[in-house]
Amino acid sequence: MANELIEHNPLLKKPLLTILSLAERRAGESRSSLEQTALGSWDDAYRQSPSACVDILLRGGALGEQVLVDGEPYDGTIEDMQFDDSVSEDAVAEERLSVTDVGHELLEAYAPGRTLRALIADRPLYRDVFAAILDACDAEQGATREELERIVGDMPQAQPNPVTKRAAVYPQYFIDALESAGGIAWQGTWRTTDAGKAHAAA
Amino acid sequence: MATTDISRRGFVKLGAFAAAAAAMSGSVGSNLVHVEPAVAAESSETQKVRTICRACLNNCGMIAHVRDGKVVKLEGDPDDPMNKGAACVKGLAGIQALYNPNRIKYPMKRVGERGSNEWERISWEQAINEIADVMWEYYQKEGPKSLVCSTGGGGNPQFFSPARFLSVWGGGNFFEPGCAQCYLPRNHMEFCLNGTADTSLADGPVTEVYLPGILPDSLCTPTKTYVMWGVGPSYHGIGSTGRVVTDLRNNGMKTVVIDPRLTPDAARADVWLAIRPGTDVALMLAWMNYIIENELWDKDFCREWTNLPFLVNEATGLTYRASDLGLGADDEYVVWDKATNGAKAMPYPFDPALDPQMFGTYELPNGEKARTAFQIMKDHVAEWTLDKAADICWLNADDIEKAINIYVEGCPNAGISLGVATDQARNSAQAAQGDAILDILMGCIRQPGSIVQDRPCYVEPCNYVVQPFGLHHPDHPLRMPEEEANARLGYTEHKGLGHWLASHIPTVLKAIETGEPYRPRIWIERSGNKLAMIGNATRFYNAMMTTDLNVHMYMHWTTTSVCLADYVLPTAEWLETAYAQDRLNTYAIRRPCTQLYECVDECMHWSWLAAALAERGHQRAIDSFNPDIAGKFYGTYWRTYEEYKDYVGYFVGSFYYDRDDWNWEKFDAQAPSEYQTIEEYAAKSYNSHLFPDEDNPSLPAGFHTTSRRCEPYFDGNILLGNTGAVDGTGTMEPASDVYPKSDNYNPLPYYLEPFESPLTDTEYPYVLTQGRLPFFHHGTLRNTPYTREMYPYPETWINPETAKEIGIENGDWLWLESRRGKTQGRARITKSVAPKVIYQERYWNPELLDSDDPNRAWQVMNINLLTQNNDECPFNDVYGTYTLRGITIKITKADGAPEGVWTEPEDFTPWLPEPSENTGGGNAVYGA
Repeated sequence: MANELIEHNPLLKKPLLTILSLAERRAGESRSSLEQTALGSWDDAYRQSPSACVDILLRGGALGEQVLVDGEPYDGTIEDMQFDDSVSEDAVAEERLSVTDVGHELLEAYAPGRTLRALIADRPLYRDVFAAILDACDAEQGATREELERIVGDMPQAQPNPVTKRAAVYPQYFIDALESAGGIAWQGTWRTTDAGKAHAAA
Repeated sequence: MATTDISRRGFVKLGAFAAAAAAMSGSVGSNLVHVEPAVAAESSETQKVRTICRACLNNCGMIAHVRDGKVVKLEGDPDDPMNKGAACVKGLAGIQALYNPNRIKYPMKRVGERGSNEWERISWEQAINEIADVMWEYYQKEGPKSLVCSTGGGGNPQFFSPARFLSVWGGGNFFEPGCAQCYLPRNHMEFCLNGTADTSLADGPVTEVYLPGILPDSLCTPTKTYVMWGVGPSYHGIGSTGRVVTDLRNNGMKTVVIDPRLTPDAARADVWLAIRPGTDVALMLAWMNYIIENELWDKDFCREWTNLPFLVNEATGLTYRASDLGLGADDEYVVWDKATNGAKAMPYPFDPALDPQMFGTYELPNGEKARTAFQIMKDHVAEWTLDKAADICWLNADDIEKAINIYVEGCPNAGISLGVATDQARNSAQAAQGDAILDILMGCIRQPGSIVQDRPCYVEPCNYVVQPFGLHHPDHPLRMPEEEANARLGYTEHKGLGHWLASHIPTVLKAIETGEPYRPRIWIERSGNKLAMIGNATRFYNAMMTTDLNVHMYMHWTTTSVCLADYVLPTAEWLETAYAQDRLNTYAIRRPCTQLYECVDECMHWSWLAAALAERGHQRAIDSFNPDIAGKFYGTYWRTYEEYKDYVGYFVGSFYYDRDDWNWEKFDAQAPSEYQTIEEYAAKSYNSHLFPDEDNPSLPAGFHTTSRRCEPYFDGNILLGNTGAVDGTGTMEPASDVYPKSDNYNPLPYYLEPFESPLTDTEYPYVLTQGRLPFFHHGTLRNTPYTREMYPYPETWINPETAKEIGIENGDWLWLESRRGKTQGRARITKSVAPKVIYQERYWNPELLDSDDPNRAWQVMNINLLTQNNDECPFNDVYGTYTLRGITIKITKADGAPEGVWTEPEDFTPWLPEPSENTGGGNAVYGA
C-alpha cells in the first residue's frame, strides 16, 4: 500500500523520491534546511514545491516529523504548538524530518537497480529488446523516440501476429517500462541512466 | 439603485438578482457551503434572448430573460417547432446550474497528492502552458499513443472535440462512457441495415412525430403505431419528445411499450411488455419469426428494395455478386428466377423481367447449393416461437402476439424506436439489427408516419458543428494517420467503434493497468463525472489514479475533479456558449446570455492546447491553424471565441443555406429561420429512394448502403469484422481504410443469455436494470437544489412479492451488492417492476465532496459499483459493449442512509444560486 503514494502520483515520483532520498542522507536535518537544499536542484517539471512534497510524504507516512521547541522535543505538530499557550511567544521552533519504515520501503522499492532487474527478469522474452534500447540510449547523443521505434520495430518480439496483424506490444511499451524501472531517462533524447548502464555492463 | 434583502430562495422565485461573485480558492469543500446573501435589484430593462437549451440532447428552444447581464428567468420558446414553448425541469434548472456555487470558476491546480482536495487558483496561461509542457514532453518521449481523451453525453454539444484534438495530436485514444453503451450500436448498425437513419427518439433522428400540427393536415399522415422499445419519452424529453408522443397518443396513435419499468408511457400503452432486462433480442427474434411465419411482411418492398431475395454463399456468408458466378457484373447480385428456374443477375434497381424467389435453397451453375438471404433469416429465427420468447423474457405469449399485431396493423405508417436499454448489454449490436430488420420487413422506411426517415440532420456532415479533421475526407492532411487509428485500444477487436472514432474503455483500462500493448500516460477529460457513469467504477478509479497527468474540464466540481484530477479547467454552461442546432426545417442558434468567471466553451480548451503545442513545435498543431491546410470545411482551430463563432456561422450558412459568406453576425441576424419549408422538409424523405439519383438521374437514388437496397441480411457485418470497412455510403468514417483482421461479425441477430443470469445465479438472485429519470441527464444536475429536492436519493424499485421475500418495507434503506461491489438505495415497493427485477438509476452525491472522504461521493449510492466492464464478463463483439443492465445482485436491509448524504429539501440550501457578473468568461482574460 505504501507504493500507492508513488503509483497514484506518478508525475510526483521524481520529486517525492528526491526528497525521501535527501532526508535519508541528511537524517536529523531541519525541514527548512532540507527544503532549501532540495530547492537547489529542483526541476520546473516537478510541478510541486519541495514543501508541498514534504507535506505529501508526511501525510503518506513516509516521513516522520519531530517538532523541537527551544531544542527540546515537543509532543505535537507545529500547528499544535502555534496554538499552545504554554509555549512562550519567543520560543524557537524547528521541525526535524526522518524517514520512516514506510519511506525506507519506498526508497528500496524504487531503487533503479532493483526495479530494472525485476523488470527484465520478469520478461525474459523481451530481454533482447530491453538490451537493445539500453544500448541505443547509451550513444553520445542518446536516442530519439523515433530511433527507438525503428530499432524495436525490427525486432521479432514487436512483430504483429500474422493472422490478426495485431501487435501484442508496441515500442512504447518497452520505452515506458524501461523509464518506469529507471533504466532510461528523458533528457531531450532518451539516455541510459547509471543504473541502466550498470545493468547493461553486467 | 434601491435594493431589498430577501431569502435566496425567494430571490430565485422572483427571478431577479444582482450581487458580486466571490472568487474561489482553497478547497472545494469551503466553496460548496459558502453562500453569500442574495440581493434583488430593482428592475431594469429585461432583454429576452432566444436561444437553445443543452441540458440534454433535445435542444429545446428557450427564451432567456437577461437583466443587468444576468439570466433571471427561463421559459420555453413558443415558436420553436419541436418543443413549442414547453420546457422541462432539466432546462429550467439551467439558472441554478449557471449560478451554482459549486461552479469551477477558474483554472485550478492541485496542491498535494491526488485526492487531497486542496487547490490553488492559477491563470489560464499557466494552466495551458503547464499542461502543454507535459503533453509535449510525452509526445516526444513516447509518441501520440501517450494521450487518452474523453467526453460525455451530459449535455455536451462539442462531442467530437476530443476526437478533433486527437486528429491534430496525431494519434491516441478517445472514449465516452455512452458510445458502445449508449447510441453507437443503434446509430451505426441501424443505419447500416436500413441505409437511412437510426430510430433513437432521444437523440434526434425521429422527426416524423413532430410533423402533425405543423405540416398541413392534407399532407400529413400521423404515425399509426409506435413501438417504444426501451424508450420513455415522458421521462427523457418531457418538453419535446414526451410532449409530441402524448399528443399523438391522445389523437389515436396506438403504442406498444417494451420496458421492465412501468413508465408513464408504459402506463398509457395499448400493450406494455415488462421484459426481463437483457433479453430483448430473444423477443425480437420471436417477432421476426412470427412476422415471417404468418407472412405479414411487406411483399413488394422486401422483394424490390431489400437484399432478402439475394443468394448467399454458404462458405463465406456473403451475398453472391453476379461476377462470382459468371452471370453478370460486380455490382449486380444473384437471385433465383421463378420463371426460368435459374440463377440470374439482378441489376440495380430491379429487373421487372425477373421474378425472384424469396425463400428456398437452389443449386447454382457451379454446383454449390445456396439459400436466399430470406431463407437463411427464416431458418435462423425458426426456433423462436412466442412461447419460447415468453419463457425467456418473463412475458405472456398472448401479450407478445397482441403487441406484434398492433404494430403490424399500423405498418407502414408505423415504426419502432429502440432506446438506450439494449445498448447497455452484451447483445447491443444484435438488438439494433433486430430493430432495423423488423421495420424493413414491414416496409416502415421513409413512409409517411414511419419512424425511419431520411431527413437533413442525418446527412453529412452531421449535426455536430465541430468535427474531427478529415472525418469525411480520407486524404485530409490532419486526419489521424492510419497506423495510429489502427492502434486505438480495442479497436481491432470491436471495429464498430470506428464509427465514432472511439476506443474500447475496458481495453484502455487494461492498457493503463498493464502497459500492454502500450500505456496511455495523460488523460484529458471533459464531462461530468466518469466515476458515476462508467461501469465497474472502482476499476476505473484504480486505473486512472495511476496515469501521469489528469486534466478535467467541466462546469462543476465532481468526484472526477476532486479525486482524480491534477488540473481542473472551468467550462461554460449552455447559457454561456454559442452554437447552432437544426430544429426540423429551421436552424436555431444558441446565443451566449452571459459569461461568468473565467469559464470558456470547451472548444477553446482544445484550441488553446493546440496553440500551445504549436508554440512548442508540434507540426500538426501548427498546421491546424493554417487555413490552407485545415480547409474551410473543418475550419482552423481558433485563437479567440469570436473566431470560433464565425466558424459556426460559416458552417450553418454553407451547409444549410447554400451561403459561403456567413459568419456569426450574419447567422445571428436571422436565426432561427427556415432553411426549407416544412412541406419540402417532409417530402424530401418520403420514398426518397425513388427520387432520381444525383449522379445518374436515370436511376433511383436508393438507400445509403453498398447494394443501395435495405440490407436486413447484413453481410457487411462480415466485412466490417474482417477489414474495418464500414459498409454503406453515408457513414461517418469512410470505408477506404483497411484494418487488421479480426473475427467475423454475424449478419443476423442472435441471442446470448446475460452473462450473469437470474435463471442460474443462486448467490445473486435478482436482476438489476436502470433507466432515465426526468430530473437529470446522465450524471448532471445532482448539485442543483431544484432537481435534488424532487429526487434527493435513488429509489430502489422492488416488486411487493420480492420485497416480502427479502423482508423489506417501503422506505427502508438497502444494500445492493454484486460480484464487483456494494452500494445503497432506498426501497420503493411497487408493482411497476416485475418480481425479481430491481430498478435503480445511477447516482452520485456532490454533498460528500465537502467531507473528509470525498471518494464516498461516487460510492455511496452508485450502481456503477455493481456493473461490469471487466474481461471476465464478455463484451459485444462489434462494439465491445459492456453490461450495465441485466446484471445479478442481492439485496439486504441497511441500518440507514449513508452518512452525510442530503435527503431533505432544506439540506440543499448551500447550493442555491450565487449570483455573479458577466465577466466575459475566460475569453476576456486569455487568447492563444
